[in-house]
Amino acid sequence: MKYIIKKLLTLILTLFFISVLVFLIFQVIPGDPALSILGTEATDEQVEALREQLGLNDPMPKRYFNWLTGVLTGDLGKSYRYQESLNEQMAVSRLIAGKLPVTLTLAGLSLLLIIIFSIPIGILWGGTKSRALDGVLNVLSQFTMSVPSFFLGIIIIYVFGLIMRWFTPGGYVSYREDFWGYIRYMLFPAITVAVPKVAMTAKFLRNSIITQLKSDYVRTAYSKGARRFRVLFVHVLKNAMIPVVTFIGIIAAEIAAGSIVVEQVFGLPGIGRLLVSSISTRDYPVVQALMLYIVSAVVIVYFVVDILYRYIDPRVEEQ
Amino acid sequence: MKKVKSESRTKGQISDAMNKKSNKKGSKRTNAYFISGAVITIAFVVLMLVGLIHTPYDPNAMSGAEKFSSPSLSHIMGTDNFGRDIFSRVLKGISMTGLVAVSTVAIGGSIGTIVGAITGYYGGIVDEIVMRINDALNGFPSILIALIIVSIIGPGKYNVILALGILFIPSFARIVRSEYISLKERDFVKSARLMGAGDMRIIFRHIFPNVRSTLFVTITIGFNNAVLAEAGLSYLGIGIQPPDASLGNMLSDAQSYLFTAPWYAIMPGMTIVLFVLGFSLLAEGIRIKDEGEND
Repeated sequence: MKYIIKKLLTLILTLFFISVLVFLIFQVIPGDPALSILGTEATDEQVEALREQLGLNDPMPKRYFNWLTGVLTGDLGKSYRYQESLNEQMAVSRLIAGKLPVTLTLAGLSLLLIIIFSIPIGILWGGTKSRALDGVLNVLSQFTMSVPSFFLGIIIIYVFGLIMRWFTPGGYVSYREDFWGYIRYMLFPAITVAVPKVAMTAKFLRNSIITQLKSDYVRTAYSKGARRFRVLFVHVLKNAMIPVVTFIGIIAAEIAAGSIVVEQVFGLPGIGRLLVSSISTRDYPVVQALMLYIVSAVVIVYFVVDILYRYIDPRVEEQ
Repeated sequence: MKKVKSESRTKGQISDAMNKKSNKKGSKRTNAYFISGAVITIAFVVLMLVGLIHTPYDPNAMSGAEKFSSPSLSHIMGTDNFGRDIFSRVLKGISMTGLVAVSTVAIGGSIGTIVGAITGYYGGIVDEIVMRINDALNGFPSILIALIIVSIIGPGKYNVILALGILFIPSFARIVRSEYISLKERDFVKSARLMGAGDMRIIFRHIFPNVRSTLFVTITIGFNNAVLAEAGLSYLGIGIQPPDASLGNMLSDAQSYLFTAPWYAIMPGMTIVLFVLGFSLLAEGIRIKDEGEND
């Protein structure tokens, strides 16, 4: 319990530093937000009035706390580019809330696929005595990890979308309209995200199993007459899985970024695509909010993994 | 602070498990990795140099009559939506990607090595601060950090090099630092100091040669990551900008014509795969080789 509280305090501190950093980065960017909103035709008085209204003339610490209060109450400012109606800019929080489900579905589905496939493959790979199988899996994983996700996505679109016609490329349907159609479409981007990570996780599990197979308790189990199958599943696996849990945590954090590219490939209206388009149109309030969101998500995932790790392996000593 | 510490602990275990490959499988396979990696990499270096001086066609010459011709003897990789020769553009793309990779690894590697060497050797408060920043950055997916930097300084060739260069500093610094920490207590360093060698001399003349082989693996992996990152950013349209050909932006153009001209996507795509595969096989080969020697 003490450990969790300690971790929680560190998490809050880390999040605070992140917020300061994200705030400062966008102070350094050249360009006047008031001017960006009003356009170049605005008069100096209009710009000055808007600067005053947005609080841009306040001293920096005050602006930071105003911004932070906004963030904590769900007010992330307004987008420069997206409009709610003719005279009203879209609120960033609304913009993100609309895109979040897509990204979360993609992340969840891919994580599920990673766990379902990597663990059996890893066990088979680590447990096998066949050098041929080991070699084949090794080459296969090396190759898989070299394929960039956008190219893999294009191949999947070509093979499954255009030739096999299992889905319509670009034919994204919202989950509100047709839930199963949505899942069906999301499955292919999720496979794209998952394939290289399955290779990485399986390889990691294999190395972990091989390390464990060399330990003393394995020899003891064998000398007591246990069969290889029993040793592998009853004795080794429990220990071998411990570092894998952390590894999957890191993978989960990476998916947050990996999906940026894959969303672009499959034309999914998620967070990643919003980030990329906002960067190209220099829609800084959106970029700032998304950066804060993604970085915080990564930190929180690591926090959860740390807690889980301790729960699974009580040997982890308190520092 | 403590959180970061425990994070680096779990990371350490992970890299341990990663490194613990079965060593018994002799040097035969080592050579297979190393040789195939070296062959592919050398081939790409040659293609890159060729691409800088000569391409069979002008990579930007358009030809309405030859739109989407499939691979043939005159255009071995076919032509694209403007009738441009894909092979010539792939060659240019390899040169561009190679250029970006070399520059980024040079920036990240040199600054990272110096930072790692000095912080590892001296330790103390500066080391603490630098490594905390390092750990924090290390936790984040690299494409995200690249995106953040590009969003601040804008897209384009030189900005991509700068962004990826900065991005690579922490990984080099971390690895070099840990080598220096373990090496600085060794007898040869103590005797050099007794002989009156100054700190700078010890850091660069005595310790550095011992770090080289680790550094070599890191550099190879760095190339691998640089190629992937550049291609990724260019694919997203915030890396190398047209009319400069890059493997990434070719792929993003090709995606719209996937049905009519699949080769347009496959050629640059497979080029990236081979490019990356070469470096990763090479790194794996060197690593297994080193491990074999240390056993």
